[in-house]
Parts: sequence; C-alpha cells; structure tokens
Amino acid sequence: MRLNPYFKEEISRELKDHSILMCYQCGKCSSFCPVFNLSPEKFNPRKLIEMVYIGAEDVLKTEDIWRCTTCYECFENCPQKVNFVEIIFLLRTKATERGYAPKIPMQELVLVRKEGFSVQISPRAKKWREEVIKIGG
Amino acid sequence: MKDNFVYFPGCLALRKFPGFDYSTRFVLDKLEINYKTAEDFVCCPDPVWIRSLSYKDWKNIGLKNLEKAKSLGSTMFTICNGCFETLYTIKKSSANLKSFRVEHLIYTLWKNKKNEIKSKIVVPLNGKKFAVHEGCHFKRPSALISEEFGELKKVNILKEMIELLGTEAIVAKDECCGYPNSLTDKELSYLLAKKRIESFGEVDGIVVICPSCFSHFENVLVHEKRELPVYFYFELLAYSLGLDKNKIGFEFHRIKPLTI
Repeated sequence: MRLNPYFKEEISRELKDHSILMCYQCGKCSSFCPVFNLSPEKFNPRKLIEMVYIGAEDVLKTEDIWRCTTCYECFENCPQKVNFVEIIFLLRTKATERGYAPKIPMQELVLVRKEGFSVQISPRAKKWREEVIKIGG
Repeated sequence: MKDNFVYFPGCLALRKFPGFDYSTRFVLDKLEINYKTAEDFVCCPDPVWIRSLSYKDWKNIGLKNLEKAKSLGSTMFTICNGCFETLYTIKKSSANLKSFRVEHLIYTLWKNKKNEIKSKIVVPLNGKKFAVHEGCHFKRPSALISEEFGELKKVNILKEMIELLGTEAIVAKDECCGYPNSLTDKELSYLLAKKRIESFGEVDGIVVICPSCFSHFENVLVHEKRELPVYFYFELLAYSLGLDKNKIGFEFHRIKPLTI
C-alpha cells in the first residue's frame, strides 16, 4: 500500500471545518452506522478515517467510500462533531477526479450536465399529464 | 400567509411520478396557497451523487435554481427531501440568499395550514394504520437544519400531518431507506430497506415525503413480493381533500394502493 504523508493534511485543508483532525477513533460513527451494522466487512467509517490518518491514499480506489448512504447518523452521534459525511463527499470527489467513480452515478452526472436532469421523462408520464390536464383536473 | 411562494417540483415528480406533482398542485389550490413556478427549473441537483461526483456542478446548478426562484418570490418549497437538502444547504452558504427561504412543503403546511386542512377534509382515512417515514435528508444534519427549523428536532411532522387525515400513525426510530446505495451496492440497499420496513410492523401502508424513498421502498417490496402499498403524503392529502381517485396517478405505483 502506497502511503502519502500529506494526505491527511490535504483532506483537512479542503474540509471547511477541519473536523477530521478532531477524530480520536472512538468508533461511535461505526456503531451508529446502518451500513456498518448490516455489513461491517463492507463499510466501516472509523476505519476509513484511520486510513486517511495513516495516509493510505489508495482508499480512493476502494468501493467502500461509495457505500455511505449519507444518512448522517455518524455526524449526529459523534462526540467530537467530526462531519464524516463531508469527508466522504470529499473522498468521492477526489476519486472522481482521478477516474475511479462508479459507472452508474457517473451516468447521472453526464445527464445532468447535458440535459439538466438525471431522470429521463417517461412517455407514459408525459401522456398521463396531458390527459389529466385535458380532463380538467 | 404573506409569503410569495415558489414551487419546485423536482425531477421525479415531474418525470416519473406525475401524480405527485398533480396531487400537490391540487392541494395548493384547495388550500388557496398562491404560488409561482418556473418551466426552466432543472435538476436540484441530487445531494448524494451529483454532490459526491462534482461539488462544483452541484453548487452551480443549485444556485441557478435558487436565483431563478428568488426572482419569483420569497419562499421556495420542494416536495422532495433531496431537493430540500440541496437547495437549503446551498442557500445557507450564499450570502445574497440570506433572506430567501427554502422549505419542504410538508413543513409549510404543518406550520400554516393544519387547521384549514382539518376543516376541509371530505374523505377521511379513518381506521387506517400507516407507518410514517420522514427520511434522513429532511432533518439532517440537524445542526444545519435547526438553524431555521428547530421544531424538526422535537416533532415528527409527518406523524402529525397524517393523523390530520384520520389515520393512526406508526413511528419507528429514524432510519435510512437505503436508496443512495441502490446505485452502487444494490444488495446492501435492499437489506437496509428491508430492515426499515420490518421496523414498522403490521401496517396498511408506508407514507413518505420523498420520491426517492418512495421509489426505493416500492422496488424492494416488489422484489420481496409483498403487497404493502407506499404512498406519497401529498397524494393522500389530495385524496382526503377531494381529488378523484382516478386522477391521483396511482397507476404509476408498482404496488397498487388497494387499501383506500
């Protein structure tokens, strides 16, 4: 595993509140995380912060960072007010810049950039709207 | 209500579940809430994936929607937790939008229209037992949301609003529906939803205020071959206020709402 001694500082600098520096690895984030509680081998918030702390930049290549649901249970229950969700957003943005983003969410971004919407309008929905409005509602 | 309201329908209500938009407009008319909307609103955009992939795009597109809304009125309301989170969060970080308000419509109605709703109900839903799922992005992160909506920490607004229609409301501890993971780890997202659904116990349906939670619960229930209907709150409110059942858009549900 390649270690980058500046990785933690880089992440901290880019987080507005620098809250990652307040983490003392108590693991409350994990204990409240619904994903960890279902599948601890797939997603462990405490462990992800530890990886940033030791400079394990390869965390950006892992599938783990894409498994957070952003439900904020971690942040709500953190005694140090570490905003783990903001950390996840930042790790994902960095992973995307380096070409590691998963395919399906990337397709959404492409659609939003191109058409302004990530959801295609269904012909059935379009027809229904016209018919209901024609009926007079 | 002196505000000049701006209605932001969002992607799913306009493009996938048109009955959500139609029911909402019916409710607004029935409750005599004057509002404007814009044909050229675009995706909010999504506060999980677009924000994750490109913070810059997320913020710039959100700001365009907010600036358009600000030119139309003083308070914007959404009918989606995701739209609410995106637009509220971006607004909070923008100095020139300080006086502009962003609300979820369920809050707008809870704050201003409870008595009026009660007096205008023509089809009560007495005898029904509905689980309420407010959804994570409606009131978290609580520190940020509480700056303008302190009540959300103390009150389950959806519970109060569904009880107005005459139903019994079942509230389970707040938990995630699992939707965001459906794009990256379907198995996990289904497990999360199943756990959430099980937490409600025996109910006649699940009521939500977010089209994404709606869509995910339905997909999982269909996969599990369970005939438990999911309702978007504003559909039920429209129905209780007199909207013809055939015009609510129930045909866009994957599980037919047989119970009403």
